[in-house]
Amino acid sequence: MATPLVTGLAALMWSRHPGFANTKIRQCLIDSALKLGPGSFDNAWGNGRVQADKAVHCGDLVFTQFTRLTVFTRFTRLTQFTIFTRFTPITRFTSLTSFTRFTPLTSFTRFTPLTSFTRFTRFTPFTEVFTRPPDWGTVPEPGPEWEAPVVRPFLRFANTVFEPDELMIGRFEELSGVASDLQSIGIDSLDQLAASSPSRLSSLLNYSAADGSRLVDLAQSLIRRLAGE
Amino acid sequence: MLPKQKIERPPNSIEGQWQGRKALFYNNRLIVKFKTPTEKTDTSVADVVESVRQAIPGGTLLRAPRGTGRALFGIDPGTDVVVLANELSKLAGVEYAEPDVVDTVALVPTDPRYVDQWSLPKVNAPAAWDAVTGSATGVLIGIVDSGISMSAAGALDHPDLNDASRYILGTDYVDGGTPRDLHGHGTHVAGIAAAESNNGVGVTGMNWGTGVYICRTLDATGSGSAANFADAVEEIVDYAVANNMKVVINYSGGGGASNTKQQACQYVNDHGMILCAAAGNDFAGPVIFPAAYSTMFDGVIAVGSTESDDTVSDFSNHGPEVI
Repeated sequence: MATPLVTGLAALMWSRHPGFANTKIRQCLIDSALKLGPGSFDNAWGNGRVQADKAVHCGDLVFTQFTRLTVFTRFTRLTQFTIFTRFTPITRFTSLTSFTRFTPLTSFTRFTPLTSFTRFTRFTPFTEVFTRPPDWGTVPEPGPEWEAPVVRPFLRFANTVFEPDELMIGRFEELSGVASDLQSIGIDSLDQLAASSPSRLSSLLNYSAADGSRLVDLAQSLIRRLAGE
Repeated sequence: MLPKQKIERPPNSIEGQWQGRKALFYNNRLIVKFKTPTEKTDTSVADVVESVRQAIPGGTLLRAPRGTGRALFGIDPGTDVVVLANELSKLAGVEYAEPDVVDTVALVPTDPRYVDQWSLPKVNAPAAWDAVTGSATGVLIGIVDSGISMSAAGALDHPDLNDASRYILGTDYVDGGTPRDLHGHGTHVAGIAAAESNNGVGVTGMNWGTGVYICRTLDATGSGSAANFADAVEEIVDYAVANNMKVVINYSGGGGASNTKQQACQYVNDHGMILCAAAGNDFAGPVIFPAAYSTMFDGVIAVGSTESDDTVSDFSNHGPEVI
């Protein structure tokens, strides 16, 4: 009396997957069967004994492992990152991290992680994942040109490019401004800078007294740096 | 091990050879399938049918051709059915004529609670029910068997199979009227496939929610005609198509090969439906028909059986057709 058992099961499978063709239902019954005979098929055992639990889930769209969702984007220091993911009401999230917020009932959810561009989420049936909305059209696939450029500030003075170092940490903007100011009054070499007194520079640049003493301090730092001290 | 049962040969049946195999068929009936006219003709269908009827000794028209062009004739029981069928097949306008093969129920266990429900946990049905318990829309279970338990007044009277909203009572091809079960096999089959569940009564079926369409082709002895089987299958498929449903038809019976059963399988398959048919319980004999047509049609699934200890049931038939 196994036949009605299979009949009821096939109807269960069709209840879950109404879009399946009869051939797909048949194949799922075969694929999900527990193989009991020698080999995959023999005349006595057929394809094995049906397994209802596996059969009804056959054809479910499931990412059975953690899915790594990586966002590729061209960015600068001011870029905000946005991930677009399409969720259906059946989507179930089994792990959420603090920087993500999901509203699974909406068709599109948008979240803006500021610190990480890779996250791990487990997706269950019927999830579609996009790292950019489908209506973006023909955005080129991620490649070398999509890799993040490193923003590297530098200081140019006296035809020399100086990269930030320990001495300049926290003062880089100021030093850049000083170097620019010095060049504006025609001081563009180490010798000229060494020959100029702080008070003269202060007066030339219309710096206040307080600014003048700061300028001297900065200039000395710059000189030491430029001199390779 | 179950006792090997001898199923009695139904009255009006004879043994013979058909399609190269031993088969049992009715000695007073003949199936004729008419060709679909390829061009417009002045000859009416009724005239063609009448001309065939006149060619049959003692011929009566039992059932006019359905949409698929198949009719059933009564014949003089003394006629050699095979010889007559071969003669009629040569007539213009006839696609084929053949004996009406007798199908019998797949072996009926004598213990009424034989299944005793080991089979549901064995196939992990409870885990499947977590996901789905049977949709009431879009899907249908069809049962072609000996009918369903009903009172003489025509009311469903089995406590597990009495939700009138779930059951669609189709044609009784044996006696006419509603498909009242006079054998018990059909009720048993319906119980396994679809008994109401979580109701604290009797058995639990595999599928709790899907509608069930019942047709009766197997009589009180557990035997039934191939013509009736095919008509019942077409009736159920037509209903499902008209209601935009997928149907899984159960036929826990079978017998010899026949064009008519093969074409019913084709009909199921062409409409994207499924027929689950018993491989047969003749103790490792060849797979019976229509289950054996599973090698021809993806829509036909031949089902064998296993025991609770995962051995092949010793009464289950063997063959490449078994799923």
